[in-house]
Amino acid sequence: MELHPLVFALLAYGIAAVIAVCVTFIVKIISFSVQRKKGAAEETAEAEEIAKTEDKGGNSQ
Amino acid sequence: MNILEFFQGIYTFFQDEPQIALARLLLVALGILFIYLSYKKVLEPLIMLPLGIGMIAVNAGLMVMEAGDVGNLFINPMAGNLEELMYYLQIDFLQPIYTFMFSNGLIACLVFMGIGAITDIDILLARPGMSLFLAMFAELGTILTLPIAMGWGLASNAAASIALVGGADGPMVLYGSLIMAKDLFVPITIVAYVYLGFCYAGYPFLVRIIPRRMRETEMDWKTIPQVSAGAKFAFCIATFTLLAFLFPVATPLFASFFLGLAIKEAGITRFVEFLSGPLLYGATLFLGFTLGALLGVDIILDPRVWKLLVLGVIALLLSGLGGIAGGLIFRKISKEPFNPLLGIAAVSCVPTTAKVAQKCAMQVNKKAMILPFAMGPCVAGVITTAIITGVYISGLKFISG
Repeated sequence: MELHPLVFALLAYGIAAVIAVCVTFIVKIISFSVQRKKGAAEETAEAEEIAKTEDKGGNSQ
Repeated sequence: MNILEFFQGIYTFFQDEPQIALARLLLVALGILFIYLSYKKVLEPLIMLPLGIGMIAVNAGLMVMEAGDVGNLFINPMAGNLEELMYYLQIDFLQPIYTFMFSNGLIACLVFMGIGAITDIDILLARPGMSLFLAMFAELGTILTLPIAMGWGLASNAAASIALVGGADGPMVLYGSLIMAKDLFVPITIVAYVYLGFCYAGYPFLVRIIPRRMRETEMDWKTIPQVSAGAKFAFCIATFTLLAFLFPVATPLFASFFLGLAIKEAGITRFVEFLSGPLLYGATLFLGFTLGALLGVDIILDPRVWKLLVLGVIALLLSGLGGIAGGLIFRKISKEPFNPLLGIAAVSCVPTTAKVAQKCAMQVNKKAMILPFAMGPCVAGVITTAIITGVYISGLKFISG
């Protein structure tokens, strides 16, 4: 199969665009999972903090 | 006895045919000009100064060799068979560098490793859509120069190689042309490096087509979200794996760039210091010097070289215009204030075009701080150019004519 140079160049551009979109998705997925992990870690820390405060409260009563 | 035989550089000058002697003089003058412009910081001194010295050396320092023919003690790129190659490896002092580092693309990979180690991908990860959108527009020259060059009579391999100049990445042009058009890799790479040197001076004029009020736009860089080192590291590995699967032929280049990037993000400081210092600058020094030493009269007498000079300008001009168009379109669709000068940064000559964007913004508004944003499209441009290089190398056999 042989392509006209302009068709080939446009095809190359199309392929590059599709891969660029894929790279964007990779970034989004990584950012999302890192953010979720961070959020989960923060939530755990917060929950531990609350539990500690409640424990202290219980003792003082 | 001819007294001039003591001074072989001058003696061989009178032995040459007039047009060759004239071409030698022209190249020596061009070498001096490159050195002067490097000294004045108009051209990139890291590459153009050793290149200029190399050019003077091989065009002035010609002598009559043992076999009676005219040659020099630098490189013989035409050494064909093993016996001949072994002879020149022992005679010509840059031959080992050419044979073991140029003809296999190693030097481009070393430079790319160093570039990877100094590249900041924070904005690319914080604003991936914007960065890659602009980078795709700034590839206009890389795409359109291929059919233009073929329409002008260049073979598909030479056309694809010179089109890569539009991507504005010196090592990428060197690597691509070494694989696709080995007979033209010297002039194509030199055209690329000379023009990339002029980008810093030329693009500020080109961006004046953007209305001043748009160039003045301020962007709040404090709104850029923080990106964790883990996310950056994961991005390096994931993107490299994807690209390696897609384009094995360009994998050495991808591997080098992402290795440098991954080492930086992993925080291996000893390696980062080595890659971004001795390796990057050592490779750049020998790249420039060896390229200069390859620029003999046979190059300038090749009629295709004049076409390459014109096509190189077309490629960079189209990429610049594409980047500007991308910037203007993104401004229309963006909900936040957006400075279209970021489009020129996407042409990707890291970090020159990002600096150009910042310089042009500061000229019209002293408070416009867009450099942190400009690094995103700039790095994205490297990735899109690498992808297009991979597509061109892999798909060359499908082009008709």
